[in-house]
Amino acid sequence: MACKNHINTQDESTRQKVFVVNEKAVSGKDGIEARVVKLRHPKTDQGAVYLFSPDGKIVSEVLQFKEPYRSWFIGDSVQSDGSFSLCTPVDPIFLILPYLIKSSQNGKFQLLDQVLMDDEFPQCCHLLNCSGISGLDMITDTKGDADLKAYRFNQDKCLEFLRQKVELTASHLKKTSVNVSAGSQAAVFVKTATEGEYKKYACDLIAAYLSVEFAKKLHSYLGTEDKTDVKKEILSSPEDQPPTKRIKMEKQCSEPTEDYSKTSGNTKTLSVGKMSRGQKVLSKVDKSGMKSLSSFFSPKVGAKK
Amino acid sequence: MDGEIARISIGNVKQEQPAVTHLMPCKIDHDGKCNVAAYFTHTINHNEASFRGRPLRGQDVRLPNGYTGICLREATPVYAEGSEDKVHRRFHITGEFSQFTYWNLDKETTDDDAVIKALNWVELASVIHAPLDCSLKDGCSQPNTTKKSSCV
Repeated sequence: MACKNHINTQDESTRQKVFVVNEKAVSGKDGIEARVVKLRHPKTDQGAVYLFSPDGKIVSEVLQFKEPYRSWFIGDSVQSDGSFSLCTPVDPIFLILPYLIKSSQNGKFQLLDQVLMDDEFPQCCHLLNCSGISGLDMITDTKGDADLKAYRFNQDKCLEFLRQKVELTASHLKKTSVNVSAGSQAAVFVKTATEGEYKKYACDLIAAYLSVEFAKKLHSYLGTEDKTDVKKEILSSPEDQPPTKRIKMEKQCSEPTEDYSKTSGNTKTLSVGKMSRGQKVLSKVDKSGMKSLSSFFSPKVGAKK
Repeated sequence: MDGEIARISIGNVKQEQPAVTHLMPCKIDHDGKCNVAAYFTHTINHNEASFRGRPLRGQDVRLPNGYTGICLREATPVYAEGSEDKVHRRFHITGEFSQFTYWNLDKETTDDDAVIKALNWVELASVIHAPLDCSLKDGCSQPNTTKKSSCV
């Protein structure tokens, strides 16, 4: 680019930012630029900050390390902001996955540049240039040759792909924990951790890059669901609770999340008769405009969606 | 907006010594030049130092293999070619470092400190995000640090 960077260090802000980055993500000839962009985060579906290397081959996620009372001394200057941004390369497959799942709903094979279209985060089209893109073959069915390749998401292949990732991560967790040399907590971790726990932990790590819905599929594929959840389901009868969270989410937020009227019959008369002294006192108070306590613990549908 | 937040110019680092970098356990409400050598560096004795009369305990941290620390300063806005209204924030690199010292206020440094845990994430992330065929050959990770990360 012919833009001239007329940098005047005296006039501009003396503020600096500290980045800890993979060297490959910022390497290149003089004058080229790494780009900081917003992309859709695969788990939250919201914008998150990513870094494209100058050649566009590496995409890194930018995580902020921040403690409340930290400042930097850099050389002979002081920086009040004691945070740093940690940029670690991410597998572009994770970032493309939500788009693939979405576009596969019509069951058609599609070209990647059609799949990666996002009005809100247009920079996502640059994921096409990333070096890990060939891995897409492992989660899709493809048609055509290298010049004109069309993809269709394949859930079974994808789950198998993720299983391999989980296995690798789990074995890494195990390997590094064996090498633990200091720290009582870490020592305890080694003793108590079983294969299953490593797997579960690894699965949670991978799930941090998947939508909630797909993470559930992965957990059930690998058999690493939360055991406590399973227990709860056994204990409570199906009528007491809505079968899945999704149904809860679709309800209006003003509605109570659990419906006791069906299970306990004539609730009104019963509850009047069984009122405690405290409840009686409370019933005399003007409660207009007050929220019920349970409303604070129900999911806020409106806020999330 | 086109989703681009900023650009980081590569390569125009004035090749100086790697910056000597300290992560202090306090908020200093100032940005800019100061005489770090006279008021802080000379108090350092191995892993101990004092700042404003407070005892500090520190530890040198080497950044993970293949990682570098860069200090960025924002350049004055430059108009992108072609469109007058689109301005990208631009940063240029003012310094680089491969290790830094972090200080705790009167507390021994341990591997459970947040800084260490954050940097441990780097290695774990390299496993999670390694392209599959590459990591199967097991050439991508060097297990030399410990524990799970707190960043996740």
